[in-house]
Amino acid sequence: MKKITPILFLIILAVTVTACIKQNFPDQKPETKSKLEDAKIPDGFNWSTAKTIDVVITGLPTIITIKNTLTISISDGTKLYTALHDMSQSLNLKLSVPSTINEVRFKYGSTDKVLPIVNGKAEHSFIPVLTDEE
Amino acid sequence: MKKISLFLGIVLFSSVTVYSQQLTLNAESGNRAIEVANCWQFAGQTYTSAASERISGSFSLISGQMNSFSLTNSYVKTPWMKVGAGNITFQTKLGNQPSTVARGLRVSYIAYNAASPSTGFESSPVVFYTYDYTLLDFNVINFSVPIPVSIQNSTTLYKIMVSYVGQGGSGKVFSDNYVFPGTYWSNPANSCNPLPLVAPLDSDGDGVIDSEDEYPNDPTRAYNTYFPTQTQFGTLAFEDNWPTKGDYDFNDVVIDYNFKTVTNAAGNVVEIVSAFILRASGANYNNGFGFSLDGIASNKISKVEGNSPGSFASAVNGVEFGQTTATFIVFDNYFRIMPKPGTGVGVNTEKLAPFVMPINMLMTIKFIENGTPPPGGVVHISQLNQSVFNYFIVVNGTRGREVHMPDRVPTALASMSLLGTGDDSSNPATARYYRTSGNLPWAINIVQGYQYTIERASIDLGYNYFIEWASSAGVLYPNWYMNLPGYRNSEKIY
Repeated sequence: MKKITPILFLIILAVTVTACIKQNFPDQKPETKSKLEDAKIPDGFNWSTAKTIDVVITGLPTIITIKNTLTISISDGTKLYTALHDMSQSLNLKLSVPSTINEVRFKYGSTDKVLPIVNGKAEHSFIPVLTDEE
Repeated sequence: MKKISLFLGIVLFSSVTVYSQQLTLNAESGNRAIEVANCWQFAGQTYTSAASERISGSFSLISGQMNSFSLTNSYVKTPWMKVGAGNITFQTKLGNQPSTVARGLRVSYIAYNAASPSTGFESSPVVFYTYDYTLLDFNVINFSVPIPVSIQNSTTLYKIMVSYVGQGGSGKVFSDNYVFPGTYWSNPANSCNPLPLVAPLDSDGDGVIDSEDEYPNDPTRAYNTYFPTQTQFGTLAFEDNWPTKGDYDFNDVVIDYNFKTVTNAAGNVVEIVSAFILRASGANYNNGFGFSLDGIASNKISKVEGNSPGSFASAVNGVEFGQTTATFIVFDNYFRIMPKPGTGVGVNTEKLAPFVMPINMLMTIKFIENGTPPPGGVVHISQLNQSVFNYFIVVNGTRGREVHMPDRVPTALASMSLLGTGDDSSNPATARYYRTSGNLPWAINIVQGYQYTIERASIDLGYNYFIEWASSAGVLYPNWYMNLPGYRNSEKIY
C-alpha cells in the first residue's frame, strides 16, 4: 500500500497536468465560425447565378413574306431561343443566361453575329445603318 | 402621303403561291435603309422631303452631282427579279439650278451570273434606253421605257438599273414613282441573293426546311432549346427549417436540373423534358420537391409523365390538383426515391457515411400532344423563359409548408399564415418572400452546377468568396462556386 500510493499520486498528477495543457495536434484546427449572418445583403438580390436579359429585335417591312429560323444562343452553342420568324415582325424576348455571360449569338438566314449585352439588353435590327456610300 | 403601291405576296419555302407582279420604288418609307434592306441598291442617291425637290408624296429621290458618264456613278438598281412585260415607268425633273452641262439617264439590264460571286453575281450592264435632258427644262418628265423583248417574261433573273450621267456641275436630278413590271426574287435574309428557283426540301411540310428542322419528318415538332445547356445541369439547394433559420449548409435538399424544350414551327411549346438528379438530402425531414410555371395556367398542360407525386393529389392532366397555375410535384418524399443508407444524417452529406448513388428522374410535361393543343390553349416559347420556373420544396409532408427561392410567390396550396413568422420576413404586399430580415435565403440556384458543403458546414465556410458575391449583389466573384485556387475550402465540401 505504501508503494502504491506514491505511484498513484504520480499518475493522478500526470493526468491533471496534461489535462490543463491545450494540445494542438496537427489535424486539429480551430473551428471557423460562419460570417453569413453578419453579411450585409442588398435588398432584391435573388441568390441565383443566372440573370434575365432583354433581347430586342426590330423587324423590316418586307416586300414579300420572308421567314427563317431565328436562333439566340450562347457561346457554347446552347440554343436559348429558336423559332421560325417573320422578318417583318419585331420581337421582344426575356431570356435567362448565366450571370457571367456578356454576349449572345444571333443567327437568322445568312446573318450570324454576336450581340453584346449592354445594360441587360441585346439588340438587333433588320434595318441597317447606312454608310454614306450606300 | 401618296399610297405606297407595294404588292405583298406570300412565299413559303415549301410551296410558291402568289408573287409580286411589279416592283415599285417611291421613297415614301422616308428611310432609304428600308429599301436597301429589301435589296434595292443606290449610288449617289438619297431621299428628299423638301417641297421644292419632291415630285409627289412626302419623299422623292435626289441624285448627287452628276459628274460622270459612268453607269455606276449615280443609279437606282432593282433587286433580283423575273422581268415581266410592258414598260418601265418613272418620273424625273432637273434640279432648278442654272447649268449648261449635259445631263442624261441610261436604263440597263444586268443578267444573273452564278459563276461570278465576286461581282455579286452581276454580269455587265446592257444599256437598252438612253435619254439626254433638254437643259433648263425643269418640268416633270414622265418616262415609259419598253422592256426589251429579249428579257421579257424571263425565267432567269435580272436587275434593272437606271443611271444618271452628266458632265459635272452642281445640277441634280429628282426622281420618283418607279414601276418595274416583274416578280421580286431576292432574299433579304440571305445577303440579297436570289430566292431559290427550287423550293428547299421541307419533308414534313411544317414550314421549316429540313436543314433547320430538328424533326424533319414530324410536322408537330421543329426545334429544341435547352437550359442551362444541352449537357450541363444546374443545382438547386435548399434549407428545410423555414420559417426558422437553419445551419446554411444548403444541403437539406440538393437537386440538379436540366430542361429541354421542344417547340413546333409556330414556336409553340410541345413539351418540356425535365431531367433531375437527386444528389443529397442532409435532413431528418421527408421533403418533397416541385415547381410552378408562373403565368402559365394549369389547363395549358395536356399530360405529365415520369414524376412521383405520391401523397400529393394530381389533376387529370397530371398537374398538381387544386392549382390554377401549372404546378408539378416531382416527388413528395426525397427518401422514398433515394433511401437513406442507415447511418449519418440523411443521405450524401457526411463524408464518413456510406455514399448513395444519385438518382436520375426524367419528367415530361406535354403541352401539345399529337398536334392537339390543350383546353387552355398553346404556350409560345417566348412565354417560357427560365424566370417563370418557380422551384420549391415541401417540408416533411406538410403541403402548406413550402420553401421557395427568394421573392418567388408561394403556390395556391401554401399556408400563407406561415409567412412572416419565425425568421421569415415575407411581406406579400411588397412581393417580398422567403428572406430573413437580413435578406438571407432558404434556397439558392447555381445554374452552372456546384458542389455542396458537408453536413452543418455553412456554405461560406466551403466557398471563400460566397459572402463577397452576395454582399455585392452578384457583382463580385460571380464565379465563386468554381474550383479555382483559393476559392474553396475542400474540407468543408462533400
